[in-house]
Amino acid sequence: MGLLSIIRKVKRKEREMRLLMVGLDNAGKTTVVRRVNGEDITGLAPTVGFHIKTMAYNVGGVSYRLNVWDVGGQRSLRGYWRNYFEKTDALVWVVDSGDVMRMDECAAELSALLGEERLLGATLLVLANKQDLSGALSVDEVSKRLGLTGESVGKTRHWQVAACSAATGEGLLDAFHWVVSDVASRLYALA
Amino acid sequence: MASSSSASRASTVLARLEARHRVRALEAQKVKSQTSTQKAPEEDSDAFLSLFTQIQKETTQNMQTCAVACSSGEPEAQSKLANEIAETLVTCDRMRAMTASATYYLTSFDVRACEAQSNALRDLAHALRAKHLPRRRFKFSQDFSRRGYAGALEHVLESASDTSTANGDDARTARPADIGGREAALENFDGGKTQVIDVDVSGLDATIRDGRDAVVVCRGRATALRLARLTNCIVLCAGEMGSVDGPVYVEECTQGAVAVDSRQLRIHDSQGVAFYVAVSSTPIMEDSSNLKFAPWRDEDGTGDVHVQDFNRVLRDDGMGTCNWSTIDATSRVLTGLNTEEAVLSAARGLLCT
Repeated sequence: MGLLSIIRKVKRKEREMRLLMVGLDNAGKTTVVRRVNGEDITGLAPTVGFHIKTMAYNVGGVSYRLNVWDVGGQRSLRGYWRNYFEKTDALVWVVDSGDVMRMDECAAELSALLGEERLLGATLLVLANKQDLSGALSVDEVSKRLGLTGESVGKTRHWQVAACSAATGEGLLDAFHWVVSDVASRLYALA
Repeated sequence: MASSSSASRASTVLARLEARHRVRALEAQKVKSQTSTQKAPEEDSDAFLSLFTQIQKETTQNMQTCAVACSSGEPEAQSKLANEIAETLVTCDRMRAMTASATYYLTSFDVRACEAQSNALRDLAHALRAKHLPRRRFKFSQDFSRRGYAGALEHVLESASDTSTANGDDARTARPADIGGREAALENFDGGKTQVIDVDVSGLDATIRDGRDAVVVCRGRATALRLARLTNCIVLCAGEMGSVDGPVYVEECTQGAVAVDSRQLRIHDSQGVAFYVAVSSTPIMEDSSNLKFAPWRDEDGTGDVHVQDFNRVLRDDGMGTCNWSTIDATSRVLTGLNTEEAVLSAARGLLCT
């Protein structure tokens, strides 16, 4: 038995999945990860480079091990995103729904990302974050501004846009529940 | 014999160890109790929130008392109210600064609640001023009309789809042209180093772009502000004039100065701009150089601003060229000015230099 097979077997046994959190700077990626992991969200600074969080996540009585890669979204860091695409099971694109001015920039970055060959099979979850802010765009408006349609996302890709607020925690768990279930149905349906 | 002596030695050692362990445990307990009781008062979120609410209540009460006196026609009530409103606006700035300095231990919810409280206070001050005090005509507009700059100004206002009143008093106030939704833009202007352009940005995602040599005063509370391709412009959106609830983006701006009161400040591809800031989070800059920073409100002239320069951060050694500096205390021309006239005068002076 080769090393790769052993690793695959271990991964299957532990029900591991790899989530890549991306989005423009100040979208709230780190806050989302911390909130989902039940950590303190005060005093966060912009991410320089990336953070990896491993967390256990239970869906329908089955525990999964999530490896969440939280990558900095500053313009100077976006060129490094491609280093994290390999073996990504789900792509979580976080949007600051209150930042209407940069929706076009956000749409362009997301579109570029969806064209990446290494992300073709990955599930896409778009988090319309910061819904607690007054003037935040709704899920429909975010989808429209990002140009998210079946064709733009890719006909075979599973995707969803979910409203949430990392500050209050609203809508986050439902969204993560969906993404974990979707990845699990692809990877571990027969396990 | 030998076994009994070794046993007694072992028991002595055990007793000694036990005594040492007891002393250490006592010390540890003492330290633990000390640290649990020594909670720094400045990091106590409950104390902070009660102080914050108290300041807000007192300020609101004082202002409303003056407003009641003003409506009942008491002599000198108007001037009292004007002073109270000016003080309230300074208090609002202080409250925002307090919130900014406490963000590291407050929860996000509390930070936003504090920001909402200070914004509500500011709105109340503006509302009372609009109701009880007639809007002043600024000296500069009179100067401009006398000096024959009105034509040039009209051109600017036309290009900005001017919707201001035609009675002359507010003729300088432009509403940026709507470009869809709540977004609006003021663009393509040349102030000739003399013009002061008032822009009403209330409730807008306002963009000011492709302009040069002008003072731009943004009035009201914008939801976001983008400054793009401005050369030698002084943009004022702080203090009595206005503020931004969300982010301020500065892109490809050269020279000039920007005074902003906002939640965030992000600067890209800009050179030689001076920033006077009252922001809740650390200003972020990328691909920019020779920028200068100072706090907007800084009574003793010793405050400074911490800026995150991503080009510097990304270098492995962390010792890249420093692309920003703090403005010397003696050169902070826009800091610590309490009246709008003083700020405009300083801005105009800055434009001419």
